[in-house]
Amino acid sequence: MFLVAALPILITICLACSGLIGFLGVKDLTRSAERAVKGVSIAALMLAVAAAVAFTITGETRLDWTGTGFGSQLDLVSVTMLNLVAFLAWVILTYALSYLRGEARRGEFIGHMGLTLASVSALVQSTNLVQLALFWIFTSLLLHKLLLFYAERPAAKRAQRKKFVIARIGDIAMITGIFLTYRHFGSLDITEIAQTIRAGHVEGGTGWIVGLFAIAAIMKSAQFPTHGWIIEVMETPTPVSALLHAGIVNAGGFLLIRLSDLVVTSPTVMTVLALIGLFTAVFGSAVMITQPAVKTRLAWSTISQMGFMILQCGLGLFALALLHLVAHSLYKAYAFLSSGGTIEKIHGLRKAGPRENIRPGLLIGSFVLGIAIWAVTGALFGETMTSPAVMALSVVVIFAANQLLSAVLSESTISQRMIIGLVTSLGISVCYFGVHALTSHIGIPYFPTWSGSMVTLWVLSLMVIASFVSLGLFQSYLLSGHQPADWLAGFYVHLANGFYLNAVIDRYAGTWRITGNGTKLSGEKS
Amino acid sequence: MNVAIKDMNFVPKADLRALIADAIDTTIDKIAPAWPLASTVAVNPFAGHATIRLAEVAALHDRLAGVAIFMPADWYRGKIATGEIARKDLLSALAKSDYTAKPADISQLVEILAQSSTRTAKIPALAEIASQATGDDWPTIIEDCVGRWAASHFDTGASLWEGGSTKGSAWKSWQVWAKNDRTPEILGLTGFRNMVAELPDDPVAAIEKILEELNPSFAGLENQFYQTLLAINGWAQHARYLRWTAALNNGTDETIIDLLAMRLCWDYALYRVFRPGIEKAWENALAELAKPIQPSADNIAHEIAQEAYELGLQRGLADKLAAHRPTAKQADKRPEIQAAFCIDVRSEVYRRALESLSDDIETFGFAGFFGLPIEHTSGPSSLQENRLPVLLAPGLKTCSHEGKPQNEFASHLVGKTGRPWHQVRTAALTSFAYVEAIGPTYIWQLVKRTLGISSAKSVDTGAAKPVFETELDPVAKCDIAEKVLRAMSFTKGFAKTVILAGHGANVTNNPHKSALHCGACGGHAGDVNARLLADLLNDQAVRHDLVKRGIDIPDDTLFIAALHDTTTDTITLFERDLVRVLDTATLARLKDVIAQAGFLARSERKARLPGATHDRDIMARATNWAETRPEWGLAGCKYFIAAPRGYSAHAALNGESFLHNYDHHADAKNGYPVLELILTAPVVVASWISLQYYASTVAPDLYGSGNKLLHNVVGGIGVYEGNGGQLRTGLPIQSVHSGSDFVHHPARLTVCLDAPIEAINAVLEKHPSVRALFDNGWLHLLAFGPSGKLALRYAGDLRWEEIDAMPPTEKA
Repeated sequence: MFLVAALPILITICLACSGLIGFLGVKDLTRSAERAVKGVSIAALMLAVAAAVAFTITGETRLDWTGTGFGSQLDLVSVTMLNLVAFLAWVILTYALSYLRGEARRGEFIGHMGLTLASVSALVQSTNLVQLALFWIFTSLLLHKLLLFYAERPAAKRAQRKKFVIARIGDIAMITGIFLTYRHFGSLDITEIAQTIRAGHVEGGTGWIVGLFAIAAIMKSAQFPTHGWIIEVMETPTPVSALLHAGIVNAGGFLLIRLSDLVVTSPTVMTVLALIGLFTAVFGSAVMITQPAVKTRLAWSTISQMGFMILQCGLGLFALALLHLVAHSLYKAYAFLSSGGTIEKIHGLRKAGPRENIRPGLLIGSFVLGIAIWAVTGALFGETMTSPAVMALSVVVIFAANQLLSAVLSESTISQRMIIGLVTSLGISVCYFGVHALTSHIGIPYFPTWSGSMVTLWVLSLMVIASFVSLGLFQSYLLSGHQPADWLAGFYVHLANGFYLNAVIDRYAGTWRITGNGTKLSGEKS
Repeated sequence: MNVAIKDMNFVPKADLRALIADAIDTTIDKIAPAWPLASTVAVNPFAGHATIRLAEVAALHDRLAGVAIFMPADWYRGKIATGEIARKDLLSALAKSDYTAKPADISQLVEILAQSSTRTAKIPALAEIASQATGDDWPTIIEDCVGRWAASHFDTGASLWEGGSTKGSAWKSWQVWAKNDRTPEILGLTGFRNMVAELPDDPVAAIEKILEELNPSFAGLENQFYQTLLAINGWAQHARYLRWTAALNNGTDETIIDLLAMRLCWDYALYRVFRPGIEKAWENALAELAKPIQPSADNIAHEIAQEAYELGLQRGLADKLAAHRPTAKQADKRPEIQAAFCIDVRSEVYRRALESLSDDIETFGFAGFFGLPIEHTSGPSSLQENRLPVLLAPGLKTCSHEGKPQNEFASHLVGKTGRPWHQVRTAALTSFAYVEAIGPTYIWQLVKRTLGISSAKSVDTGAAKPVFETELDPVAKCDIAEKVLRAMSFTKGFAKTVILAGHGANVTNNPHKSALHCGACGGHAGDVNARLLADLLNDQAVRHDLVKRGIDIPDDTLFIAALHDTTTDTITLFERDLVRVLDTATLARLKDVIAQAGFLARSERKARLPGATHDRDIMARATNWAETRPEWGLAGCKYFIAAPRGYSAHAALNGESFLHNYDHHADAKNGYPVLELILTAPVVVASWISLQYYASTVAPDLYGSGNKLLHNVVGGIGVYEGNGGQLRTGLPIQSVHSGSDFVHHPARLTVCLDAPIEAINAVLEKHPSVRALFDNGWLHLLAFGPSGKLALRYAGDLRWEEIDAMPPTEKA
């Protein structure tokens, strides 16, 4: 039992070792050092898998770090996160070892990367709020080092300054939140607090606390209007982007999921979270479709996906938020690390033969079919009925199914288009609801749900549906191949510029002021 | 200034227009095109400067861009100190130099190099003056804003919503953008949108209007324009590419003028807003721009040192070729296998390895498109791929149609829904569903890529056999075959098996993949061209007609197309294309020798590739998605040898030389058409490659695409380094630098021809543009003597001189 409980901390130690090996090899990372880094990261991954197996057999357990009040939690959330972190650590460290070969400071890079990953793994197993905050801040400071790997690049510094300010505001919110929690509950132990709440010993007054944690989460997960920094941090090697977008940016969602018992005590804050998440999701994804540079597009995609995750948290769907967090991490890590293949991919798409315009009738038909597929599969898995919020979010399936269908129908080189279109759109729908059903099955008993009034939940759900449908229809119009109207040209420019939020911040933060004299460009060593 | 304005007032408007139009035309020609990365080729960034010398171009770059186009002075000084740049070479280079301001002697030259500083002599651009005055980083702000617009305007499918105005001209599109974009005004350029709205719809008229305020004396226009375009070099090069391809199709494209107007617009806006603070400095800058730009003593000293370095390399080559030269093989013995490769320097290593296996194996070098100027369409694609050198317009249409698959439904479901899935993945809203439904499966993708177990193939061997779409009658087919064989100097002595090997790179996740493909095939792999030619030469009717033209291909000779994978040095044979059946023993023998040769070639290359100690390390590079140096490409290219293979076969040239087979005796009978072809096509292409490597090495900030670790693919056409701004053209730093040292040492190409100098002179006289490259030092030209040793050096103006004393330093 002790061995099982010790697995999480062993994972952290392994990852920390990978970092230390990196620092030991600062001058020259030898082949055996490379193997050692890969070795410990694989060890970490195997420990994580072992932890998952042990968890399914023995259930929740924890290890207290004697005398510190800190400890390692082994439960559904931490097991999931530890597996994610250890897996990404293996992928990203292996990638970075090759990718940075020949780079003078490769050892230092691996060092910071390993420590950051170790810090994240320590963060997700925290039993104690102070412990969580400590690793939260530590992660952020280490990330700071990685984002400034090419510290001589002015653009790196510009973005980093924005990021630094946002992160510190988040830190302050978090620390204040912890302080208030202690005053309110007399404890900093996360499980203890949750138990107090579940036992019903709380009579309100948690609004401020939840609000402060929500602010920390919003700052961390690049929610509107604090998202500006994340679209400007491509000034550092790709593995850092992968780590940031697939790992660290999730911390906001993780915080809300981890503290879900506390969060549900304030429906007001949840409502605000849902609204911010919804707005960010819609805004971010609308900007995303205008972006021609792949990493920038992926950054906007992250903003919107994080918005979706925060929206799920706000609606009290914590299990789904955890699913979204994991699925998005895997997808985004791959997307960033493989972004060099974009040229080939786009060329491949262009080579795929001519596309036909679809008749409006067929467009409407595919929309109706999309709704039908959604309704049937949703009912089949019994999901759409469970809650208005779940149903509202699943509206995205209608558009996915509809869009796959109409896109397949417009491909001139496919034979039996209708059947292939139906199979693919049915496929995505089944996958969606199937994964959801599985997630709910595992997660429902574990997480609390929306505790506010049903009216509020319905209103929020209807707002979600309305926003999604407007965005979806607007996009369908854009993709239909018709020449967009004139007024759209102006709207496009505003959208492509992210509504100038960064320009305004730059102006008032003095980002463009020249610091040195006439030095610019050159990220190279000579 | 006032005086000047009054003067200009007397110039009639029409003349003014002509003056401006002239300056625009001249400036455009100075910008070299840059092909999009989907199928990019090496381009000489100095192609527009062929009529002047390196030091003069260096002066232009110093003064207008603040960029040095030589190695740093210390590099040369170090080499002089160690003797790698020999004294006698310095003396020859100094004597050769035509500049009146050249150093008096070597010690003065070394002195100048010692005092050379990196301090820029740049004439400040208006944005830089504005920066000085306001304290805001205007050059970068403009780069950023220009990048945002240009990326969306030139987008080829990277973003789902490509904006509302992609159909119009760039100028029109920019006007729409700038009339809406609030960024400049937020950052302090008040009235920007109105200013743009008031400009004429015609870009040249807009330039005129801008100049009336910005440069009222209209002096130094060429310098001003060139400086303006250099400030947006990457985008300008892309626009120049559009103009280049339009011209090949007898059309024209004015995008680059739109870009010039667009960038001048920014200067105009800065000038209008900040005029009081910057007027004086701008007047000074204009006065500087109006003066002709002459090379400085520093520029000249660098050019001489560079020239001396190259003279040393040439001596090294001459020694190598002269040493250990075996006596000529008996010519009458029929070889067992012949293999033709692209002239590409990477083939040299492999050819040497292949030849070392047996005396019965012969190899040839020829431009990898095998003389077939094709425009190829594969499958149902609506895109045409120009698989030929970019200097030429395609003359033949070809295609490869896939056959009907066994299970059409399944294959279409898996293979053809890529675009719909891509749309769902990248569209708003649907991407939320995609992530939750499909996201978990990315575990498998990540595992596969991390372990490097995805399939590595440079070419789909099962791809349908390409065929000519252009109707070719037997005579036309025979014409092509004859022309190609004569150009290869391959008209007799055919072996039983002749391999025609195109080449392609095999890399994963690399935006610059096409730069590693065959340049002669326009940045594509060479398989299609090789397969077409093999098919043509196996055609009985063609062979029958060839006999009448004096080329007798024995009946038992088989041409087999192949693809040389330059990353792993494996060779794929397309034996399934053959109509006649290849007997199994021959096939087994072929497979055996190419495997052996591959192993030898890899052993040689291993030493140069960082992180490669085992044979398998090289193979793994092809599938490693994190590999930034999968192969060295053409790094290290220095020489071009057009001669019988016997002249170079005994020398290990370390993948530094282009090798073109050429037999001037056979060519003489027809009046040297092949020599003319070599000098005007492969030599020019090779010079583009060598100067691309040169420029990306010496001026990585301007002519290199920067650090691969930061690359951000934009618009499906190129890369940003980091967040945005400049479109980065040229080679990444990882293509010329190993991390500890340069792998490419910049040298202009040395062309070595085995041909009578009268014949060479005749070709140069006929082609002034090619001659300019040699006369102005962009290429060196040496000729072999009758003994097969390098004997003569082209000294410009159709003059030749003896190469001084084949040094007896090496034992001959």
